[in-house]
Amino acid sequence: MITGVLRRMRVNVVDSSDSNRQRYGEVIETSSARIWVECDQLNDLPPLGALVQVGSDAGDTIFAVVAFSETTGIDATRRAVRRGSNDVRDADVYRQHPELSRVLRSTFEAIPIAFERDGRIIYVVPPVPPPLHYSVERVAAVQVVRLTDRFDYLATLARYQGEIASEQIMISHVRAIYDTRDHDRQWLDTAAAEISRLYASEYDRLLPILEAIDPGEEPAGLRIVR
Amino acid sequence: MTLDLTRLSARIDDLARGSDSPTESFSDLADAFDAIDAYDLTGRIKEARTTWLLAQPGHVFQGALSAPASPAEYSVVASDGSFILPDRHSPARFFIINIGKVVLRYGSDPHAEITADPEIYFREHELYVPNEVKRIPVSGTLLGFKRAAEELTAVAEVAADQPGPVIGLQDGTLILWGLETFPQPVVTWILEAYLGALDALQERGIPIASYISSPASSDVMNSVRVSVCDYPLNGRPVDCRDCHQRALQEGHIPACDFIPDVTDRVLFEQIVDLRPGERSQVFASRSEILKRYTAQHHIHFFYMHSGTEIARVEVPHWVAQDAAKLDLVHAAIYDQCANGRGYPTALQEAHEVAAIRPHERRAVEMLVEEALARHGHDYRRSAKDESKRGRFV
Repeated sequence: MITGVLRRMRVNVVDSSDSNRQRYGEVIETSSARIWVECDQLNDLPPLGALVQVGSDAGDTIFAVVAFSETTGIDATRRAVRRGSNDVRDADVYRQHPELSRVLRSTFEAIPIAFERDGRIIYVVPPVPPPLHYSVERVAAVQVVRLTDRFDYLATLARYQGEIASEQIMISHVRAIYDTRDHDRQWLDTAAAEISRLYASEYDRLLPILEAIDPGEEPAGLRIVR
Repeated sequence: MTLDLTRLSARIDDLARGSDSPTESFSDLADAFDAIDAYDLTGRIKEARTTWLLAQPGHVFQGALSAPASPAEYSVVASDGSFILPDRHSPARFFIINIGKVVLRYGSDPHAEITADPEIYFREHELYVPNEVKRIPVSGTLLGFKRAAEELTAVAEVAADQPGPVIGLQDGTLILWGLETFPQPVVTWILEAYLGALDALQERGIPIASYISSPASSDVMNSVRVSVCDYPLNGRPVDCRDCHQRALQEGHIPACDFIPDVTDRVLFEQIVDLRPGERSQVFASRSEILKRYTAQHHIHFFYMHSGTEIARVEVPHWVAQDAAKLDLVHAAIYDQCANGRGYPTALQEAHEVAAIRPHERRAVEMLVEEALARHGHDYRRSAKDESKRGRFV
């Protein structure tokens, strides 16, 4: 795992404007199995299960699924303390302590699941990890649809071991994509079938996933194909 | 060998036992304090022959003033510096000063900027101050003065860009204690930059103050001693040396003997009993180096209750004599202490961003090594240093 060196030699400057909303943040740790991203804006985190993308030196675009997020002090030795009170709470705490936007940071972990090269999407862990300090951006809806037309990458998600159980990531991801795909019921049924195949021998893990991704919009339940 | 803690612990116990706080009676001190007449004291101080540092009162000596309401909108600009020192064992001659700068704006448009600018000094004229006989290396205390000048300059520059009301804040003192012991070229070199920054702040009407947590100073207490001296009653100036001689030779008991040997902090906490937010009257410092400051920058000070402790706040004369500026400093500092759980937030953040971590020092060493190697210089540290790095049995 490569970690950014000398990151603190020059601390980031003035309040960034809203002009670059496409970008979530920047890679600050990278490896074949996961990337760690620091967000430009405090608390501006992609939701669990969302797709993000980052470029590479070779010109590839790497796609990753958000698997974990946190907001903590930028310095591991400084812990957050209570700042508010009954009278000053929530958003007001940030107004009264403007330095919080500088001394706290939001970061998230994402699992690389595919990459695009020369217009073709290849569903395998990228050959080389995304470079440090490269921008991590939102994936356009049309690109999300294109990516999720196939389910090859769900196996990588199912096998992932991190702080959050992979089932939770799977559920969050499927629900997010279902929304982006405008409640494409056919897609959801196929995804459920694929997930059933992945967890075929683990009924106790499978059922909660299927229940959670069931949108409950139609009386018919999900078809479980074994 | 590891440190023998067992052997030390018994002695440490003796240390703690001997540190019982003295059960002083402060009622005499309180009476003496209340009896002081500022004009009389000023006259005594003018003539006094004493080696102790004395605080010069204004028109009034006593009193506690509450903090004005904190302004709804204000900005505070603070800086702090840290350095990587010139290393005798390294073949490369340089030092680095890292200046942390913080802007905190409160009110309708809250905002924060936290940055750090490192500067590396390696040229001949940066490492030595030319003097008549020999050049003086910028190290030790002198490096501290250089840092102080850089810190103040940074505040002056950054504060100029902020919408008002703004105050500048520094950690520690505005008095360059001990600078007067250096040769004139060094004094000029430092003061040019330092007073230049004060000039810039004054020109823009931006009050500057420094904040000293847990101050150890006693100049006000020393003035209390001068106020009770009996020499003036006999038509003589206060003369501590003469009095001390008489004490040794004749068994004379100094008139100020009943004054307990405590710091100003104790005086304002226990006798004046400053409440949270309250400050004392303003006093002028009579530190030797201030004779070289331009008159409007003569440093004055007051003590205040930060909410958790008695602190000393120093300001230049042009701030002390301007009621609006003084009130802004007083209110803003108290607000910053409340905000920062007992210590001004802006100073905390400036310190954090300026601090250089051990791994960063090592990174700098590495960069220097690599650069020297790239340019064909043989990088060799001293034999002593090598013996510490590669310890063997």
